[in-house]
Amino acid sequence: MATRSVAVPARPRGALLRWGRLPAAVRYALLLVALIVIWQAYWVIKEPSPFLFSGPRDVAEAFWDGWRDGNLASVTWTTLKILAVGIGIGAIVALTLTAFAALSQIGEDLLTMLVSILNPLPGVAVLPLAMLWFGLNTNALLFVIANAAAWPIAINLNTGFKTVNPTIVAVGRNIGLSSRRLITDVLAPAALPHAITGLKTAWAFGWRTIIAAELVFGVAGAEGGLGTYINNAKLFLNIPQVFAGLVTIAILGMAFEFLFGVLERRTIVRWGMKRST
Amino acid sequence: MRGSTKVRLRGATRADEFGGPVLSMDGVRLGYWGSRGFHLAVEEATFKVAAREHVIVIGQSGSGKSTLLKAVAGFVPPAGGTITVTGRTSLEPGPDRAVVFQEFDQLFPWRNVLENVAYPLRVNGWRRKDAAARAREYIELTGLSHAADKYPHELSGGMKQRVAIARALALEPLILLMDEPFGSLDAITRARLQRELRGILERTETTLFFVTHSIDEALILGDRVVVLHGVPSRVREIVDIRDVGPPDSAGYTEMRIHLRELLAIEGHDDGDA
Repeated sequence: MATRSVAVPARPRGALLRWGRLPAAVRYALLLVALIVIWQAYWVIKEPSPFLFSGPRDVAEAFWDGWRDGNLASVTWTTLKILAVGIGIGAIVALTLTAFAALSQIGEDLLTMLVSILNPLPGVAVLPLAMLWFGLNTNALLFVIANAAAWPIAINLNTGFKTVNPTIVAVGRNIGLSSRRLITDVLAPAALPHAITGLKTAWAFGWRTIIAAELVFGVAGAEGGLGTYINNAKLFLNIPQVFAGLVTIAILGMAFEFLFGVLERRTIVRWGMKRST
Repeated sequence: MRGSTKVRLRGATRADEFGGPVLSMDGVRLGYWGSRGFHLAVEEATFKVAAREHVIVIGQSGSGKSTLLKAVAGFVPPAGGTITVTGRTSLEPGPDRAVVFQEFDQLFPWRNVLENVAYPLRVNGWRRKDAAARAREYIELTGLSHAADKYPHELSGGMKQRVAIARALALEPLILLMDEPFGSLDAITRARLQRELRGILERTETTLFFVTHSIDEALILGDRVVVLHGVPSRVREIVDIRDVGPPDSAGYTEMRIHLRELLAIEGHDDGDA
């Protein structure tokens, strides 16, 4: 096998319009503009049915109107509220199970078993049961979201506590920490990288689950959220509103990604417990 | 390290008040539970450490020297015999026996240098301001004033060990326990830290219990050397090294050879000095 290595001069990055030298924000903004231009071009040239598709301008208008008249704001608030409470309940369940697992072998086994059974289950899969048990109301949604959030949090917390550097725990005991302070001052911050990962996953699972669940609920929900909003818009063939709902979901997703990024930079990245990306 | 730092000597004074030896090991037997049942590491150890004295425990890998230190720190209960620290025999881990470990990751990553040194003081009832002032004193003593607001991951291995030393000394322990603290450092940094530690210990009049496998380290830092030998180990000899002279003297070389011979396990002399 006569392979010969050939020195290939690296193509200067950003030769095209010096793309690579532009600030990241500008690069992403330009790409976004390009996508919108393509969208608009498709809308103008192909003229798809307005009952199936909307142009960027109509969507922007529907988005703007929705936020101005408070409709979109109120459904977004409803969804986020349910999501926060659901993830909160899931987190409490996860914390309890993890504490139990840390304290006893049977707790550890129980957690392992519950996680292996329930974690692979997509969150919405338990929705039919939840609807039977709780009815078509917020409680059913909370149950489904808590279930979707609890397991990723529990897995990550458990890993976090199990992989705490034993030297640091020894130092904690050496300097005279009580068991309670060993948990709050040493184990908790040491497990923070895993806790944040768990919370991020729980957020992502919960977010997908609540939108899907609301779509299934349709108009039946007492006070509707974003998924209900999209479903209603579809029923009335208000396609720009459907798109406006989707845009809202996308923007919220990005906003939370950003917030988690800020949280990580201020804590675990700053402390060298996670590499910056 | 500047000479201007005035360091209070609570640990040394308390040790003096007690009168007797700070640490007594009487027929201590030590082991731990492994995958194949109870593993005996130290068969019998008897020696004393007086106030202000630097006692180095030296032995090969597997001689149980680290287990001995963990027992004094209160992490491992002795399987036999008694360990007495200023009259007390029931030993829970505590800051009167502050430990410096070998591992670089013994600092709290989420606290900067100043907080790493001040936090144990806060835990032990110091007010925030006093703890910070004292932490600064010891950070200066270990030559880290310029890095006081750095986080551990921004420090080199040698600097991390300095912080760990400052943290332990700030607690002004009755006896400072060090478990091969320079074992993971490169040779040049290790030599510098050994020299500096010697100066700091003299200035702070700290009582030292130091574990190592390096004969040279023992000779640089110690007043007496406890040689552990065999598996499970016994104390083979306790050697006074106060008068061996500087590293290039005849007395030093002689002592080095003597310790090498004491450490050698029958047949193969792989004593790592």
